Amino acid sequence: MSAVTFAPPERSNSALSLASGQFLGNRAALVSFVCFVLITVACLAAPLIAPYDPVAISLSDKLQAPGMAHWLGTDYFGRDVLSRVLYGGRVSLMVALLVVVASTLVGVPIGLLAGFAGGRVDNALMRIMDAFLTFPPLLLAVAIVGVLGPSIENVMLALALVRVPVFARIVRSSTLSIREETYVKAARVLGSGWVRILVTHVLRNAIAPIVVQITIVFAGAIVSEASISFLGLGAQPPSPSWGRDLNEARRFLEDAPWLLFGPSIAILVSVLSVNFIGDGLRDALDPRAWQTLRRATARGSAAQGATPGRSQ
Amino acid sequence: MSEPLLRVKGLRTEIPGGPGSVVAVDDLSFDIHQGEILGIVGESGSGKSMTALSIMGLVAPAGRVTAKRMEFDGWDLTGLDEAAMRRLRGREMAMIFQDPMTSLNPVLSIGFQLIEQLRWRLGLSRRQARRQAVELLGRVGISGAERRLDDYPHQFSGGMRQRVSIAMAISCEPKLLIADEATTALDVTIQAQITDLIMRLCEESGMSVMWISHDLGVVAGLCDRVNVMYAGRLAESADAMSLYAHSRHGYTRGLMKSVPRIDRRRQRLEAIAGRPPSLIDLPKTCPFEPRCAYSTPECGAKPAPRRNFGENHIAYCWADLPAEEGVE
Amino acid sequence: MSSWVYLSRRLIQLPLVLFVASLTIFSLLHITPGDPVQIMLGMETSPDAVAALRAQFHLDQPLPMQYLIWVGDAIRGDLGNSIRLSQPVLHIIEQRFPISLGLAAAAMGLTLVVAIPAGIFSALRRNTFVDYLITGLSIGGIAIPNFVLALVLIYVFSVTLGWFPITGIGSRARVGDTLWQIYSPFILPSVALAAAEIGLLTRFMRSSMIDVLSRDYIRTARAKGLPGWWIIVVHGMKNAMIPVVTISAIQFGYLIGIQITIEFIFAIPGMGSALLEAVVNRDFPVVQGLTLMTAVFFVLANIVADTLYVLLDPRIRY
Repeated sequence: MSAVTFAPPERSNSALSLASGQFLGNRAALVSFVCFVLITVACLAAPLIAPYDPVAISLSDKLQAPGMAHWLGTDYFGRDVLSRVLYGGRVSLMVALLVVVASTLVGVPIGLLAGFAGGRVDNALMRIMDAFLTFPPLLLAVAIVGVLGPSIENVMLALALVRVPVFARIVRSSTLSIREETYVKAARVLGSGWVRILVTHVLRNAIAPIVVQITIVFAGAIVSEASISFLGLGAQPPSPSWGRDLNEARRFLEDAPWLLFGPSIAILVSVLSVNFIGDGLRDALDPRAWQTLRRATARGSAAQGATPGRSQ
Repeated sequence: MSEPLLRVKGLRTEIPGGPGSVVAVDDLSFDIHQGEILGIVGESGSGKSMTALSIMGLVAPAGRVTAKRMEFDGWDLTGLDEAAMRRLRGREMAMIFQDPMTSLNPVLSIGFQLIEQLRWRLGLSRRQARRQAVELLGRVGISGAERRLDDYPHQFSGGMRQRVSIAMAISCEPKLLIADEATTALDVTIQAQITDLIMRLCEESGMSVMWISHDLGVVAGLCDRVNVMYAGRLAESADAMSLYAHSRHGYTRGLMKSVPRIDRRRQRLEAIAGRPPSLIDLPKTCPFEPRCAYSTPECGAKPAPRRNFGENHIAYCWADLPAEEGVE
Repeated sequence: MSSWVYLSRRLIQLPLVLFVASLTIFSLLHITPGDPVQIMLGMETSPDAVAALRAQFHLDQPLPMQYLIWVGDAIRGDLGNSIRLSQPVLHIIEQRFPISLGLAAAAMGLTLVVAIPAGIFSALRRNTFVDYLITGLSIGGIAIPNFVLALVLIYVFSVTLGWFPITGIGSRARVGDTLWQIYSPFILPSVALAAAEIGLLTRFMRSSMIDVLSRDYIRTARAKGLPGWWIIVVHGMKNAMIPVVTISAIQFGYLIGIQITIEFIFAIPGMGSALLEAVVNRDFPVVQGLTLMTAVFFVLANIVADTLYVLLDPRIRY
């Protein structure tokens, strides 16, 4: 190969500002972002803003309908539902965050390794990843939690484990396509530090799908954690949890239907907002979307509606 | 001369959306007579295809078509609803599209696609339609037609697919055939075959043809008359000989200089500088003025006048172009 | 038929997939600190009793050996015995699987019946109020967790309105039961289960149809003067359904795996609740067997999906 001066395609500043401009221009994504920030702040500030202790039992106040004293009512043990929703959110969001962090931190290196090493290593790693994908994630997570024992930490571990293959696959395919591209060949000819250059290129290339996938996994983790806690295998009583509290609410559907309201809305709003944020990010980060947007100005193609990914 | 088969007056096609409406065709008037071959020439985006789709009634729902008059074989096309338009399409006027790779349905056999038209439009029975389909494929030069009827489009080469498209277009013996860049996507040798095929078929049946192309050289050799379009407007219209001998519009002249000619050796080909304008908010003045080698002070100031140059030769141009060097 | 060749090729790969899947589930279940027998029998049991039980379940063997015994038995159709229920795992599957399959089939049927017309309608009425409404409902259906929806449905339709029973799937039908008595318990669970799938498939059908309707061959069909409904049904749907059929086959395989919360709420004795019981009881052979069975079903559904794709699209031939 001749010595070519080859500049790898950089995301220019204008592209970046276009991306952020597009994200901000997407009303659903923007509203969702505000919603999500509000939820997060409210949950983090639960010790400051929650009106009651979430685990304080007061049998004289049990199963009270929503009112001035208890905005979302009280449960069978007289505990304030609003306070439990706020504290429960800390657990849900923390689990989702750690699941995302852990599955990304494990999945990305596996994808890089498989893509770079190729051959048998690639084959072996990806067969294992594929094996994970032959199980419905919730089912596999339940089985793993079953083995490790019911606890919120084990739920986290199980959920992170079942999401690792998704990230590995994204990064691997990005690695494979990058490997063939000219500027990587050029980088290799230039010699020193090509591995570092390669990793940088791969990650830059894969960042958009990774970020979008992170939002999908985050929303999925909220739902999965709630499901597993609902089944009694996650958060253990008396600690507050959206899923666990819905399990309790189930028993009082006739007498105290308001118990459904708080945790359900909390789950729904967080999942929806994360999904719409993901949608907005996908549109904003997809380079092809900018081009089609520019080209479409004359043709007047309407923006496609949002499509959240499967969350359970 | 008798009533034309197709008479278009003041055709305007707008595609709304985005920052402003795109006026794809603007104030276009022309006739096509029985048995006549009309060429329409222009760069991509000049409104050739949109003109065809407007006549066929295929612009909706994306765009809006208006015309002072648009008459076809006694029908007033401006007043027809979709149901009535549908009855004309494929039966009285048919169209062949540019890309044979995408214009046939990939999941239906070509036999199905031929037969459905014969059955729906001519009311033939299943057996009659099948026999007719075999005969049609034979006429467009597909050998072993009986066997190939159940094949899918991807099993045919590009040229063969275009033959299938032609078979579909002529299946109901239309009075007008619109060929929209029908040979552009094909290899050069195949192009000639397909062109010959269409010309032979139209000679046999006496149908009129609207031949849309970006290639002035091909069009001049095939057509009786040529319309040159630019930016959705008519630039010049003349019979082929007259246009070739003495073109009267700067754009036509530019196109001619960019076509290689066999009768001149070591000729320098000149590309037209610049690019076609955006079709949003185009000024009333000549849209070619910024690129024109012959532009005059009036060109940028006032709309170009319609000027007659002898029988059936009109051009929308201020400039008096010199007779082309060495062509007389 | 070449698609049958393709199907058989895919089926040949099945054992390999299952080998890796079984190895995965086995490793996951055995790399764990807890000793199931100890947990099961409690701490005060005599060492002899523990040793006897360990031998019975081959837990005294080294791990690779345990795996080989398990797989060897599984190939012969023996998935081992439940530690708790003292019956073969296969028995449990035989009892439970048809119930889960029935519920999944009900949910899938509902999904197809609702999603395909809704998606097509949405595509044809693109960017109108109806389209936005369908889109909004779809997104809601996808985002709401199925167990939350199930609770809401129970509250509205069973507790408040009293229209549908909450439980009753899997209970033995008695002579004289009306069709309503037999099938009404399926209504709420299958709606709760189908909501997300309906949302996904509607969105998918919509975009597939929009994509197809913008294709050149649709314009050709219009130029031929064919009737509008014929163009949509024959030229549009035949193309648009190819990816949709494929997706719905995958969805069907997926349904069995997400039924667990629904089976729990509606007290349905299916695979999901069996797994839940096994997990709570730390009944490892049952957990292994059920998980493997679900994976087999999931993989088969994927193979069916791929085969349908080949079958429907004449351009793909293997």
